[in-house]
Amino acid sequence: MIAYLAKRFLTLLLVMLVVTMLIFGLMHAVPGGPFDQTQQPLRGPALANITRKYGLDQPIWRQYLHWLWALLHGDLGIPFEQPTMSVTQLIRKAWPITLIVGGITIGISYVGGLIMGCIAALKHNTWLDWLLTSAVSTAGVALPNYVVGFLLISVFSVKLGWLPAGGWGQPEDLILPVIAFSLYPMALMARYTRASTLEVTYADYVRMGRARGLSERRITLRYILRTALIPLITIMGPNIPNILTGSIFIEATFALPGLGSYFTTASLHRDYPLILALVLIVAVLWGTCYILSDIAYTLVDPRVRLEGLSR
Amino acid sequence: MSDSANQRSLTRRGFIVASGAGALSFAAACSSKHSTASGAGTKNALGLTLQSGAASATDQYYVQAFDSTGASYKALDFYESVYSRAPLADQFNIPLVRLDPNYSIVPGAATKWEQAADGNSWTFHIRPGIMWSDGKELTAADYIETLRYSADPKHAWDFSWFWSGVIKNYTEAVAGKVPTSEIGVKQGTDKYALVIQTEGPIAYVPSACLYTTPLSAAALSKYGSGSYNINPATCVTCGPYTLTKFDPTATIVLGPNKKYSGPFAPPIAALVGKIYAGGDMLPRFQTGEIDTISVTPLDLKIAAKNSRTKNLHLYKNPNDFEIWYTFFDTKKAPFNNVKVRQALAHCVDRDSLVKSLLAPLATPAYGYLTPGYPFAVEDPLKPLTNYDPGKAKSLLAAAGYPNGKGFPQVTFNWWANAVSNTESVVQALTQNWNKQLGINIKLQELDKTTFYARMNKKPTQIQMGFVSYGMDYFDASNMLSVYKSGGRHNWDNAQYDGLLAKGAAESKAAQRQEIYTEAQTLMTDQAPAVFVFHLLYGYYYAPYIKGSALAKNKDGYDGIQWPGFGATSNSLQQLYVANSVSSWPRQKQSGVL
Repeated sequence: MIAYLAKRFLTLLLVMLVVTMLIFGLMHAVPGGPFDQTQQPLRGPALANITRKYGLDQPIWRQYLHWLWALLHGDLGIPFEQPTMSVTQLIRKAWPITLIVGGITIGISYVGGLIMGCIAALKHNTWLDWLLTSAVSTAGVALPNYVVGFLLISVFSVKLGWLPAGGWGQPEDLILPVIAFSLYPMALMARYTRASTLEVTYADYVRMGRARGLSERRITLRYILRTALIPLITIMGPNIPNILTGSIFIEATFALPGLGSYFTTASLHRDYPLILALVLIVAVLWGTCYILSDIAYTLVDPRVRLEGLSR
Repeated sequence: MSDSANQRSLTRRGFIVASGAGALSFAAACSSKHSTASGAGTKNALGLTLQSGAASATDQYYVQAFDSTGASYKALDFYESVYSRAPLADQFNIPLVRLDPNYSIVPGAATKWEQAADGNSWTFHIRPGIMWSDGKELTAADYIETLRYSADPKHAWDFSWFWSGVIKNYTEAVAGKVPTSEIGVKQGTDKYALVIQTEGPIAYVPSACLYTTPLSAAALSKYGSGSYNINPATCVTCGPYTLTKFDPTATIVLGPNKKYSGPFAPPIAALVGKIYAGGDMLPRFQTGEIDTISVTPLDLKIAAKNSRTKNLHLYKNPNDFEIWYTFFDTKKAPFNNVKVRQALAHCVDRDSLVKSLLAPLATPAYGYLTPGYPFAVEDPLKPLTNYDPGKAKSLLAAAGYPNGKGFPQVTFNWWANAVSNTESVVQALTQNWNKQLGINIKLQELDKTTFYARMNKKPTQIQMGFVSYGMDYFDASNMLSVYKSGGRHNWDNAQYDGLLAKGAAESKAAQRQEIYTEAQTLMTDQAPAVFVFHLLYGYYYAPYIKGSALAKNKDGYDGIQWPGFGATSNSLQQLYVANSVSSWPRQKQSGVL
């Protein structure tokens, strides 16, 4: 297992190196720079002064090596957007907000979706199944989260005045964003859980269990759900990095000062150090989640063996 | 029976008594609510006696919303960074001059100013006795050190073009050719006299001096940059406010500067800037989270359906006098032919376009300058840009493209701006040009940064594009210089350049008007751009935000006019929170006052 993990993490490091090289090249290739102005472009000497100040007058390969060297020393640079703090400080400030909202969203949507999917499958073709599958989960998948967000704000903030329309700092600020953010992953989870549970419900070994007189509860928990969970790992894994890096729409709709908005503003501003840092976060999260998914398969399904451990 | 009657009688009596008591309590409650909210005659946190109708001193704060999408906030001072200034910037000082709601230059820190007989310098006389919060007095030295700092190549100020060509030796200092101590900013006869030497006779220096929002010379020397003002512990102010909290991702709070000794103490003693990473501001206004919002046409439709906002007055003004126009690369075919450009200018139905897509937050643009802007003219320009498809076709035919035959395919670049509804506008423009003139203009959207990077390349990489410009300072020389040869767009005209130079040097207003009318007529006739609309900004203020700062000005625009609620405007003294604050669900800002 250790050898396997070491190999995977080394591969991940290599992937990250390639990704950063690609992103570094691409972001310098697109037109526009971080100090381009819309009204009056900076004139010759002023532009030269500012590019020199941030080391952008150096050849691109030197800039990359300089960035890589700083990274190895734990320095992600200074964001052009907010040069009063380092990229690390900015991420340390914004990401916890995204992580709190994302963490609660994962908890609610995964548990809720699992329960909904199971109920819908076990009560399939009943009104409850129709309500959970057709109404709730279809609406959750079909409605973009910012639309849900605006609806929630209109009702609970503007009409009823129960909850804040946005902002950050108090526990009640979390309620509407989490609901809006949870709907899609919950619906997705519910639909997949229902499908995989239904598939297992009619499997031979489940019928055999019933024939042997096992209780429905035991059959459901130990025979059906455990097997039904396997395809869900495929769904859950990639969704986690998406949620933990924030939704641009949710954070904008509810004015959350999280990490999500930086994904767009950093690109729009050509904020090179911030773009690279965000790409690194996403790459690490994705890579780690895939590795964890692989490990989870082996835990849930004994038939699955990690490469190198099967013999 | 009698018991029952007695009981009924008691009940009735009891009801009357209870009703009376209830009514009295209600009245008392109401009156106590008002008396609690009323602050007339009392002093606010800055020591100013509040006027009749004002709410209590603890209610005298003003909450504004700011959308941080696409913005970067790293400074609170103009001379630290212009394009990365945070909301509520430039409140820690007093500029030499300020603007009133009629866009007239009025005294700020300077009580008077005069141009030298040779026209090559201006002297501003600073009022004595204005103190910085560190106990030092505001003098000419603060303005001198601030302007020198702005020219320092190491500082790499992002707005150094502003004084280039105006202050003597400024351009050379920015390029590192002369030390910053040699720029034309000196102390005059005493420490309160500031002399600005110019590159030649320049009439608009007082207008440009709206942006003389100084840093403290002592603090600048101590900290080495203007960043000391984004830390509450090191903030040094001579304005009515001081920094209480600086969190550019969420909230900026300016509290009262208890040591304020300037002449412009405002009724509003604290400012709160709520910073949102996008989203819809209207619900935040409707729920009392903020006191004012800048509205979009979509907001107006939604607000009209809400019981709280449907009867609010919509305040409208041009703010920074932004114009949206289509520019051409006039050095390349087909736009190197003036008749082609004129044809397109005559083929825009501005009135209908504005009415259907932008009203009430825009006006049709027949000239480059918005009516109300200094030296703007409109009527003389209308015959040059009026909607006349017949004339447009004739012009195109005269240019060698009868019915659009032989006209090359042209790419029309634009970037999405929701406030100005650019997507719909460029589609309407293109559809009309293609249909009426039989030509083939193809739309291509670019992201904003790419658009401007391509537009600003020399020579420009955009053949035809849709863009805006808002003023930097309040003088025609600013907006009109956008079309100066070698300027923002690829159009050279020696006659136009000559008129601009003449206008800048002329000190008599009537003569300047004549010169700038000629310049505007020439520019409109040569059509290096097709003017489409002047943007108007719409504002809602909560009903308790009152004061003459909101009244209509001489041009009929109301609401807080450009340059906004701050040290550069005298609106600061003319806005207050009225005692009707209890009629609105205003969210209390704790710890602000």
